[in-house]
Amino acid sequence: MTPRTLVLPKLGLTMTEGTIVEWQVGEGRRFAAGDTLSVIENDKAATELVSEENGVLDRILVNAGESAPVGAVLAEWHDDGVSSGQVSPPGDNDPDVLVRRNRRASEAMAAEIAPPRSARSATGQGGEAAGRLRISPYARRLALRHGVSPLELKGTGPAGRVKAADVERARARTESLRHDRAAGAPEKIPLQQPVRVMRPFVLAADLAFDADRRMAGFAPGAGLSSWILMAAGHALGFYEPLRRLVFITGNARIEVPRGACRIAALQAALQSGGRDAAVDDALAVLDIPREGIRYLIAPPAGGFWAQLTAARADGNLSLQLSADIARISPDAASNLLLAIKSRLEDPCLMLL
Amino acid sequence: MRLPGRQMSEISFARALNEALRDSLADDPRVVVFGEDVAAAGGSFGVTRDLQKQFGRSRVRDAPISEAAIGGAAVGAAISGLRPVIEIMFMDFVGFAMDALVNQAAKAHFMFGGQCCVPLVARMPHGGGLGAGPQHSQCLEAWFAHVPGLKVVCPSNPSDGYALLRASIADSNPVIFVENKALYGVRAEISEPRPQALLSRARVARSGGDVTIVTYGAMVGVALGAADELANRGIEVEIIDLRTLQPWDEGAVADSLQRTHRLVVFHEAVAAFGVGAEIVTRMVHVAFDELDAPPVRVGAPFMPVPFSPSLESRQRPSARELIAAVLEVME
Repeated sequence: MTPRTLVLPKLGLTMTEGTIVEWQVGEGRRFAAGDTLSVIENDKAATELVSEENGVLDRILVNAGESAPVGAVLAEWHDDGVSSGQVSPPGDNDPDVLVRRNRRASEAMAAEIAPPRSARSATGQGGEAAGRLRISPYARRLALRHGVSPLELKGTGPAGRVKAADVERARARTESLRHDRAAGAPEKIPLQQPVRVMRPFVLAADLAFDADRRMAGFAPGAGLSSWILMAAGHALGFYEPLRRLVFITGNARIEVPRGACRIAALQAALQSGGRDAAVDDALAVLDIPREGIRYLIAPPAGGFWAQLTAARADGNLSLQLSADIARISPDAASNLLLAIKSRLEDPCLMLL
Repeated sequence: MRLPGRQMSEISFARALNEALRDSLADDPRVVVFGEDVAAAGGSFGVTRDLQKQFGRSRVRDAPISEAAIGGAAVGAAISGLRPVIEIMFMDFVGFAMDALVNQAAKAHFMFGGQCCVPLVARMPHGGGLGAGPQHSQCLEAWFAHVPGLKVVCPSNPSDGYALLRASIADSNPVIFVENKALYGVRAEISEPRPQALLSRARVARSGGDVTIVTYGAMVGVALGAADELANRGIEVEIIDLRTLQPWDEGAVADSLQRTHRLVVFHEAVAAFGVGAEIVTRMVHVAFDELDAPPVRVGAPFMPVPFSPSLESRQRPSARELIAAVLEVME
């Protein structure tokens, strides 16, 4: 015996409820397929409810004269046959199950269009796979803005994708480290932490020497180092892998506000700036060496994240940007170098 | 909340549309209403009830059972100075009127050097959930949104229904006004004096900072229900009710993405080649750098709407699929 229910059917497109006019089969009575069980009335018509199966009416839940919404259980009955009820698989209505199913489908598709996981670099960090970094567009923009190297990030999104939250976490870590240092707390170096080896790379760009002449028109009376500082300070405001600018001359490290792209502001900063600026997050600009001498330094000196050197040679001005790849991507560094170069070539850009 | 001088009353969606037609007929003698069973019978869903009694046989009239004739007459009437509002009994039947709407109404302004406009409104119900079967349940709004020269409007509640239908009748372009059948009986508060709205302006139906859900029509209500369940899981979604699908409010969606960085588009229509595809594509283009997860669209599977209520309820996009999509973009 299988307990079954009789529900109020939807008898018209707009029907939402119905009224039981009468029951033609009483509780405990047997009925056969084709028998009229009850009469139902909606706003358009009265309709006989005819049984499709044989059975016994156990209990009436909605009595004659009462109304019920479409789908409501009107009565309980049972048959002697075999159950035909279809039971939903467990969890079928659970959104989490659907998410997992969708993920399996998209992973299957990803496997089809990408080499299998085992074929990828086993050493790649986070979202790095087969030389390609998996990072969301927004996370990429955030990383650039906050000077966080995506290569240092651990991606927690699907397939190791770096998400904005991963960048924010890394940034918070850096901020708290910086805060500790600023507060004078001794830097905690856990035992057995591997010494971080700087992985430097160098980019170079040459300018025609008449850039020099144009700068002279823009900021008369200043030296080449000042012009380069102004251009670098202005460029940093647009390309943000780095946030601070430090001028190194002699033994002094002078912090220059990156907005100091007017000569008066720059000169004031050079005279009053702190003499021992921190290295994190900073582009170091080395004072121009004497004519005929060039720096050939690969790694940024003294732990700076990046370093800009310049020299005159053969009537040209040559710029070299060296940076730590763990801090700044080659892309970001070349954008920065191009920005500095274009500002030296066209100082009017600094008026923007 | 009651504002001084602004009373609220509760009416059904169908009643709100009826009032919009009544007020437009009263305000503008150029407005005429015709379609199958709209006059004596008051429309299959009661939207045109009593209009013929109030405005007479010359302004509210029954048409023969020919959507081609209804559409063609509307184009002619509109070009010659009237503002016809026609009713297509079910959106599924609009195929017969496609030449009038797509080749004539949408094109006339462009083909005749701007010398005429076609200020007609074609009202048509879409949507399933009523066990009405594959030929009476479709959501075909993407067909029209694909045609330059047509505007497409789809309200989600009685207040917008009133305001947007009046704005559509006042508009000088042909407007496809899509009404979800499941909404006709839905009652909600509407202000007195009656509200006004502009076409092409979306509405933030719910504010939240985690995921932007773009939707319209009856799915706005489903999304609001899903939002409550997601809030219990600690996810706050922002729901954008598009209201007008063509031209749609790109700025409102892009603006929301700047806060949430995640996008789900949700509609009852079949997902493939639909409104969601257009919205996702545009946002990937104009707001690429805002996206923190691949945008997802949730729509019906690529199948006709089944007749059986149990099958239909599985086929129709639900809060369950929407919640799953939101969880997916939150991963």
